[in-house]
Amino acid sequence: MTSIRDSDRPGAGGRIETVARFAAIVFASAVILFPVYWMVLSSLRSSAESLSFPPPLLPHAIDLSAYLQLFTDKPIGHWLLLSTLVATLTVIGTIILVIPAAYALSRLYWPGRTAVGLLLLFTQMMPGAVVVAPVLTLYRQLGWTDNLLTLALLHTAFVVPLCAWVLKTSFDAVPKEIVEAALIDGCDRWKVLWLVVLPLTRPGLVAVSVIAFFASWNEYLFASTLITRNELYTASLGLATLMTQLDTPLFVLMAAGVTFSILPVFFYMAIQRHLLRGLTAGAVKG
Amino acid sequence: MSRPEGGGAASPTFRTRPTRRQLLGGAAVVGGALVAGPLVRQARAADRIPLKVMSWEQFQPGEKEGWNALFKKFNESQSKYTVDWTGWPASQYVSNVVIQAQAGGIDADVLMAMPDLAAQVIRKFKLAEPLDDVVSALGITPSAGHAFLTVDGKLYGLSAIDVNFALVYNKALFGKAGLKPATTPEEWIDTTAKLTKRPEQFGIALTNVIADSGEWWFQLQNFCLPFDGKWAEGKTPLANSPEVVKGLELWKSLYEAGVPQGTAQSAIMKLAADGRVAQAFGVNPTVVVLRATNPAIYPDLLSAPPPWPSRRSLDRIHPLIALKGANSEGAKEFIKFAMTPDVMADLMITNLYVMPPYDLAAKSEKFKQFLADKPWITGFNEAKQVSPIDVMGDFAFVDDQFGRIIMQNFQSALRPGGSVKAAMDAAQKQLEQLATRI
Repeated sequence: MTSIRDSDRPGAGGRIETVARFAAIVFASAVILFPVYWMVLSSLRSSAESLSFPPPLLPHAIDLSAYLQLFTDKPIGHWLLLSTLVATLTVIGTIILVIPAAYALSRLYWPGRTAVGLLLLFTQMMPGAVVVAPVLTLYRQLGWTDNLLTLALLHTAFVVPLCAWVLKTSFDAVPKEIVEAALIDGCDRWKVLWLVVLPLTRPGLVAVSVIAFFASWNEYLFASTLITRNELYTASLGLATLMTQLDTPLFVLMAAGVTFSILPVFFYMAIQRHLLRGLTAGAVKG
Repeated sequence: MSRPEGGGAASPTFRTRPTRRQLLGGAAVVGGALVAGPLVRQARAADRIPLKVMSWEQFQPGEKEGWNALFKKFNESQSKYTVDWTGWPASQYVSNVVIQAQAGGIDADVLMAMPDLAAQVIRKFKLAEPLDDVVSALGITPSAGHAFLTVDGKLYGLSAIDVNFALVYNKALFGKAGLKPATTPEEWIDTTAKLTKRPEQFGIALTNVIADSGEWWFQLQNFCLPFDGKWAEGKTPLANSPEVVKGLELWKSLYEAGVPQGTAQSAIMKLAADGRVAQAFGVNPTVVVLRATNPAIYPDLLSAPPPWPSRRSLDRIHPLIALKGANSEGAKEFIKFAMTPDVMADLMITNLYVMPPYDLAAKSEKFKQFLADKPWITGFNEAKQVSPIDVMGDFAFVDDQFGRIIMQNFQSALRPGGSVKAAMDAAQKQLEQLATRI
């Protein structure tokens, strides 16, 4: 047993600071997590309990009828499968396009590099609602509406600029000397990219995949405009069908919200460590 | 995990889990099947021309069955077309159709539209085909509410769903309190207060949160009528006119007397279906939705006309419109079929629609009997119908923007001590700005 010296014990000021910090963390967590908790709670208790006043903060009994209704009345599994398909295609497309783009921005020196990089960011500043009608016109002319593959292509187009910057930051963090050593040893640019840079920036690639996956998974505006056939609905579109003109089955909607969130949450938990490393890579140079 | 006997480090390992390659292969097969599925279905239906009918009805509880039956009958009645039902839920419908129109055309042959959308499609985008030949062929006279669908003497739409507003009430709760539905605004506030026993029972269901803006404006739009006002005349907004301000003060009094305040529309409807709300100011499909949520409530539902002297309430005709394009003849054929007395009667009976596009009771005995068996329609029939186009002036084309300005400002009047007049003065200024952009 080691004894704590008086000098190691926090003083009154230190204790207040610790308590205040703890209280701030609890408060911020409660504000952020309460709506999620309420969604889960509302999906798991009877509607009578939810509509009583004041509504109880803990369920008295678990009622799965909202989930039962959701899975019997709506093709939620089909919607989730299609969302997974579109999001996966988006991730694949993004990775294919973003690696050479980020490498060109990070490691190659060519006239207009900075301007092109900024132009890529500029595309992110335009609200989707502004471009939705022109995109629809273009897609119609190409015969690409009601097609999940082309929807994934559009999602890819929207996330590539941001992902190129994220990956560029990762590439920037690879020491110049390593790349130069590889070039001196006889690697061409593709080999440098493939054999040296990519293995060192795996967290950046994971971060890019997550950004692309989430962007596609949650995207609604363009999916809603380009997909009109019910059988091609992704989960975000499917969920919206629960909100009807005069009535919305609130507790089924809550159950749908929970179901819609579970897959991305697990995905996020699985890669969280890599994601944080990827997003902060290159942020601090020592 | 099992290993083969004698398997050393170099021996292949038998794995019960699929390899990464197998997983990718499986995903590719699933993806291929998903992509190929629609192609196979298209090939099967290739012998008929797909007729795209765009609506929001496929998402409405208690209504899609009636429409599906109609489509099936149409498909069986001829061999040239097959109905392909597309669209979005009502909350996104108008914006998505407008985006399509702005992008060069609507991806449909037959469009079902809300009144303001119908006005835009017919007058602004000019995408509709006249239906006068359909009307002559059927020998029908469309109801008076069709006036807003007429341009230069030609009719561009026929009502698929006609809804108007009245007071839907729970006779059991009124009976228990010894009350009758109100006939004047003052009585209405009084009755609402007497029927409210918070938090167990509420006097009236009125949408009241901005998150339900579409529904809120849908109802609130009526509140220019109790004192014979209008929201606009041509391009002149009348939001702060005495008639409109008094109408909104009535709404505020009801809100204070007996509305489940700050409650989402979906939760209010659930409360009503559970028999915890005494009355609602709503359209006739409100009864359909309440019945779908809780069939036991249906026998207790009755209706009364709007509780103000003129009894005027908004009548919202949702027409079927034949769109210009390669399939416009097919679109007309479909509308003609849907308007045939027997077909229309079946749709109305299945979906509990009670306001036909023409004098259907005179042409269909079963519809006549259906109406006779519906005590809850009395109030809707006694209401005097006004089209939203009549009260919105030129703002009918920007109905949702107009409504949003009204609601955003009206919210401030709902706070304690808030003034409706001050809120509407602020709204008026914003609407005058909006008028310059129409």
